[in-house]
Amino acid sequence: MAVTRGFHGRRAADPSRVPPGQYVTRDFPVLSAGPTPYPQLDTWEFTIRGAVDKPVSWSWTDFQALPREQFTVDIHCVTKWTKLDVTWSGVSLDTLLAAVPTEAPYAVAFSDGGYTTNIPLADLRRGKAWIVDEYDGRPLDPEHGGPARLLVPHLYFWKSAKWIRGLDLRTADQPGFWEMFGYHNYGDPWKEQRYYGD
Amino acid sequence: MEPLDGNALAGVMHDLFARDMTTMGYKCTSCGHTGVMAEMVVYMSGPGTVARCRGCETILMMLTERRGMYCIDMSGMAQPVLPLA
Amino acid sequence: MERAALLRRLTWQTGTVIATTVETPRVKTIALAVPDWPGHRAGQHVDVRLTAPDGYQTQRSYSIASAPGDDYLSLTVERLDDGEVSPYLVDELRGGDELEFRGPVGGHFVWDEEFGGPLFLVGGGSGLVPLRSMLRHHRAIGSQVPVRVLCSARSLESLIYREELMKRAADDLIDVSITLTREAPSSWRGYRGRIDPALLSTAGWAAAEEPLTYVCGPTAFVETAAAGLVALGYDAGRIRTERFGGTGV
Ligand SMILES: Cc1cc2nc3c(=O)[nH]c(=O)nc-3n(C[C@H](O)[C@H](O)[C@H](O)COP(=O)(O)OP(=O)(O)OC[C@H]3O[C@@H](n4cnc5c(N)ncnc54)[C@H](O)[C@@H]3O)c2cc1C
Ligand SMILES: [Zn+2]
Repeated sequence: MAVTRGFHGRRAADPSRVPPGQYVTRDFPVLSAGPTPYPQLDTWEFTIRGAVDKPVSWSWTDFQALPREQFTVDIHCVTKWTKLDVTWSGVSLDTLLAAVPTEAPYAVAFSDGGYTTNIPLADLRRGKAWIVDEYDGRPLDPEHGGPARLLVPHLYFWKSAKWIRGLDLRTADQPGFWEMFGYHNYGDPWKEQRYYGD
Repeated sequence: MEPLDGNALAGVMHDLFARDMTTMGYKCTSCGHTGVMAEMVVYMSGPGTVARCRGCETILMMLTERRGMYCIDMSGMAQPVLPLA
Repeated sequence: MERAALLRRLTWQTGTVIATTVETPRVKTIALAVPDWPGHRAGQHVDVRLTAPDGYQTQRSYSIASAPGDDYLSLTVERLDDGEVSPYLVDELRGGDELEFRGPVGGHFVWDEEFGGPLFLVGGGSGLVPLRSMLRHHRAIGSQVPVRVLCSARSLESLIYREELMKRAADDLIDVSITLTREAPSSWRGYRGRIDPALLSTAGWAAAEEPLTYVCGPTAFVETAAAGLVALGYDAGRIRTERFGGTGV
């Protein structure tokens, strides 16, 4: 492999904070697999459905009335960038899931634009996941998943579905959009679970 | 990031199919739009590459790479017409 | 070229930087000597690959700025401040360095003499690069196809190939229009503002002349131009487009 003189790529940093194979970026790259949807807030709903007794939906107004949390986390994208100390605000999934008793072990997040991603339900509980609608103190802009996106910072960022509209709870696991095309089913950045079989 | 078009796939597709594929004709299974690969709407900023129909945004092709191994899915594309080599 | 030679996976090759030329404060042209260059068609591009000492690799596409018959293979690169590859190519790469690439690739956004014309070449920012290859090729083969060129740039200083374009405009067959979108000198007699159907109709051909049109540049620029041309009655089948990503010019 011929090394390109003078090219260092984007530098990796502190290995205690930055998972293997990642570099730190200061900007916030936009990742997309399709056109940006612009849903109307007056018809927007967040729904938990599937393996539940009765599906539950929150309108935008209902959602805004829920208890909020503000928090700062690092995010790690499978395309190798890591962004440190990102401040978000939104509603913990513990709050939302409390309204929907279920035994289901799996969830598929679904979004405007048709995107899906699968996550074990346990990874969405106990303060590990949120539905966020603010980034850096401002409403989340559509390019980055606004009006609201899922945020599961301990997994690769493709699991943090943009433009989220709900969770489909399931008794059996079902791969989502990228998972179906060879990406890892779980996606732990610290174990470099990028692809199927890693 | 603004989407690109199928011209941006010329290199990887040429590598995989050993010929230029940007002039490959296709018919969209969803809206019937016909065109060539160069005209598809291509998103390359995600973990993989997604090519959509310029008529209706249906996914025509997905391409993912894993350490030099490619996985390609053309399920949204009816009647791909291979260009002559 | 032989069929057997074509049906082969693309391989990465190495070119040696012969010279770099400053086009504008943010844009450089890189001339490469490539052993056994198979030749290319005007409008094609290459994929450039950079490798860091730790093995990290990244690649980007760059259009070929030179004509098929030119001595060297030239690329023209615009520096994006927060970019990964373009700042390296513009600021760091210098004469004698080796650059890895594969190509030429792309069989759609190309102009061969037998395609005829009249030609309308519409370029925004670095979108002029493949169009310059077409213009140079047109001259090299002594083509009699009439050409109209419409260039969009932020300012006169940021317009690439300025002198070459002015020189070509002296040719009876070639007509060059320039629009400046952000700032223009007070003496500026060309167009101002972003392209729109009115400008496309003034600078281009009447739809009835069945022009063959090539549009290249930032994605948003290409969308606006292509939609404008179709609105003017241009046959969509004779408009070829290439998008570089990014927003307007
Ligand atoms: C077929 C093809 C031919 C191309 N030919 C040329 C050429 O001849 N000359 C040339 O200079 N470029 C050309 N490009 C664009 C080039 O491939 C790179 O995208 C560009 O140089 C940016 O790379 P980077 O690594 O510096 O920036 P990146 O690190 O990839 O991106 C940095 C930031 O810039 C944004 N961005 C990415 N691309 C663009 C863009 N084109 N305009 C504005 N913002 C952008 C990104 O969203 C990101 O925020 C071509 C692209 C394609 C698909
Ligand atoms: Zn379609």
